[in-house]
Amino acid sequence: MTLWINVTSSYKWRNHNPVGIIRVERECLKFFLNNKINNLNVRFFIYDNLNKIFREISNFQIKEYLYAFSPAVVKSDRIENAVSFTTNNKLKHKVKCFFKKSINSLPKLFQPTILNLALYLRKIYKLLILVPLFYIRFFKVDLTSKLKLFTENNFKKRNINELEKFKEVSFERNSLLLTLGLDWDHLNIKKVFELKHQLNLKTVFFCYDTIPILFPQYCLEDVSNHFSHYFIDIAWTADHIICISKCTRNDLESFYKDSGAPVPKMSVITLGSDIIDRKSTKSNNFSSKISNITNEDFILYVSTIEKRKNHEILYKAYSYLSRNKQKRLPKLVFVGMVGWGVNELIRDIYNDPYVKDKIIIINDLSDLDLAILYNKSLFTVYPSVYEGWGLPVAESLNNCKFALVSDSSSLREVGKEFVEYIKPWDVYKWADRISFYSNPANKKILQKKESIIKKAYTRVTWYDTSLAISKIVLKIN
Amino acid sequence: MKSVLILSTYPFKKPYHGGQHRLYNIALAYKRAGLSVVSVSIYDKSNYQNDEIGKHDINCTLEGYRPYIKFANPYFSDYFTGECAAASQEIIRSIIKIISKQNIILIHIEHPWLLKIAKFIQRSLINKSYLVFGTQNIEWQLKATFISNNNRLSSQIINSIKKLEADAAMTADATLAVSDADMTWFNRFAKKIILVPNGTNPIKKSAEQISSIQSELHSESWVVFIGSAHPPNRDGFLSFLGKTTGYIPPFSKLLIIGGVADLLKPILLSDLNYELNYNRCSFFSKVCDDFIDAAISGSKAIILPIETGGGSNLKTAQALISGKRIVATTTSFRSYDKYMNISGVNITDTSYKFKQLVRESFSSNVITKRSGNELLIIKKLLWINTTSRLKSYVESLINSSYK
Repeated sequence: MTLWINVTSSYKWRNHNPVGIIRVERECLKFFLNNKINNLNVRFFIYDNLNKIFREISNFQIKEYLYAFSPAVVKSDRIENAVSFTTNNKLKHKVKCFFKKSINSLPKLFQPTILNLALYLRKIYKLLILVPLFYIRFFKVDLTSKLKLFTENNFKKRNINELEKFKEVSFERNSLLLTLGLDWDHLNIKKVFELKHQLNLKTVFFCYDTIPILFPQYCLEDVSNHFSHYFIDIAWTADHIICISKCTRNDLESFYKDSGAPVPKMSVITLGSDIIDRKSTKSNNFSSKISNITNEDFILYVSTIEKRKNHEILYKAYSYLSRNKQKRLPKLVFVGMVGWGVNELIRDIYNDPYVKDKIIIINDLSDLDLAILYNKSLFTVYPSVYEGWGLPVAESLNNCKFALVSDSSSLREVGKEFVEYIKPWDVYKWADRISFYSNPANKKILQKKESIIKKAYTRVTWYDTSLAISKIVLKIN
Repeated sequence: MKSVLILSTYPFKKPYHGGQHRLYNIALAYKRAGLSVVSVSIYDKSNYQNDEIGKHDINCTLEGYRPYIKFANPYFSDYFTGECAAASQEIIRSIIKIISKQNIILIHIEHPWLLKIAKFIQRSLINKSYLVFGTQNIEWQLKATFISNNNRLSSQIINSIKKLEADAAMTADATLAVSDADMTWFNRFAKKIILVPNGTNPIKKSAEQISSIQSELHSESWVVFIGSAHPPNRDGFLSFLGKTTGYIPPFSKLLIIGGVADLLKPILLSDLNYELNYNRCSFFSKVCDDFIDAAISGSKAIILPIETGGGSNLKTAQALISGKRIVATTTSFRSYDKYMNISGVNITDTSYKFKQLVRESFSSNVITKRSGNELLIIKKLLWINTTSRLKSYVESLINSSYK
């Protein structure tokens, strides 16, 4: 029996830090790459949307494409030694040490000459970098669009060529198909439906949330429309749907019943929350991006900055506290990409004199930097209006950090009894609780909460998540 | 030759909607009884194409007609057409001219709207003539559901229609009712009631036509909903099937045929369900009978989500004759009660169950097979059989006139 796993989303995302759904897919991928699952023959495929076919990607190719280009090396037993091609401080330091050692090993007579030559070459090298930079800044060359054009012209072609490197796959009869990526964009569900009936395939899909259907106002127009279609096609194609929370399962079941679609079997799994080994967070080896932040007290909110995530309520709370001359208000750090529909909020944050020095927005952090921020924060906040799960809440608890969390959707499943819940749109309550927990006089209360988390919170790892998925897959088999 | 004058507010040379089909087949029944048919419809030119107009049909526009403009409700255009025509000497003179060389022994008015004209013509005829009042609904009850603003004028109009219907039943020598329920109401006024339920014609099976539909839809699997642009048809669909067509699998279609397609298209192809419904639904508002027959023949099921309305549903008869699986409400089987237990007929009045039954229609396990007895019962639904009482009545009139 063959289990085919869809890696299209991870493949398309290979030049970025894995976040959200991509992280789930990657972690699961790692598990299936490194573990043998009964007698299942595990293979991987990519959907080639251009040619409307499925292509097989081998284990070796997965590691080459997904982990070689990733700026963040995700730790695992097998891939700890994966080579990163991006320059970083470690590499620089290593190169420096190598040169020093090499020059010191030479006869003393030649050492000054070789050293001067090396310094001279270093100058030339720097010039090759500085001159173009100067040109770009002085002549205001729009590098972004030029790069975009360049990548569009060359990357796509290379992308197509790379896809053609992968052989077209023919699924065997009675195979199992597991897919957990951005299927609404990266997979042709109707094609899977067709194959399912032709070859009697068993299919397992993932549902992260039904937010585009429940809250279309939080999504771009076409997205909501597209999701309705996507979910209905899944209903007819899936033998099993894995949901990331009871809330998601209930929402999906409700949608299917209302629309008259068949309701496939569903299971609920818990997503892992181990970003990185806790020991590593104790080190001071973090990037300059966060060095200024960790010097003082701060509250952390990890999430894409978009309307649904409700950063606005925190901005309003902070504005209120600041205007009321709240003493020692810690910095509020937003870690996340700026999404859509929040331009005005960002502008308000940057222009509001009461808030602009208190709210910091940063993005694209490595796992290590993120873990360090969790570790060094006073506590975290999560005021999102609606969630399919709420991974940052779990990450916060994983780092034994107390959190103020929105009382909605799946968040009580994540936070359980370890966090404090606040209605998402109650500005004054948010302000009050932020003020309370950031008050040094209440430090002991905060510490007590952290100690309860440390004793009682059961950490779920990505390994646990992937194991649960594999068990579901085996049951279907 | 003895003739029947049929007066209506719509032409029926090329029948599309249920009313036209009914009148067309009533005319055939008259012909079978030995009468020649002279049909005069008083219609609004803007609603029909040239090839739909019969040679004696008379255009009567409501454009400048003040009472209609004042009331401003298009669902009452037929009532106002009757009022406008009755006040038009030109129209009356035209009709008299048409029938001048005919031996009219029977005047048939379809709906009560042209009663005043019928009475006038009857008085003007030298020989005795009979009046037959054809009904399809209890009109005043139906019209009352189209009133959104319950004011004095609306009440006046409804009362006027009620009186007109009662007057027609009282005046006519025979009233044709479409169902037992309608018969009960008209029985209070009518001299004589003849039950003439809606029927249907046999479904023509054309492999070529079916194949043509399959090519157009890029699908070989569909269910069919046929209905006129009668608001209850739209409302019933939305009530039982909603705006999200999750009950239709990928590569299959829901065909919406008839005037109801024009009512449902803007609703289903809007908002959040546009992409899904565009993929799953196909709309055909004006198609020929051959297309409808092919759509029915090639379908997995016929759906009848009728929630309200009196009379009987023509489409129910058509669905039964087709031999296809039917998913319907109790209301859609009004006056077809004895057919509710026929094989392949699935009745439900809940939305959840209705969607489930439609969804199950696409399963290959679902096959409709009817017994010989059931097929015999269903044959009674053919127009030739449902109009047999009318034919007998006309024959008796003709025979009695010889005596």
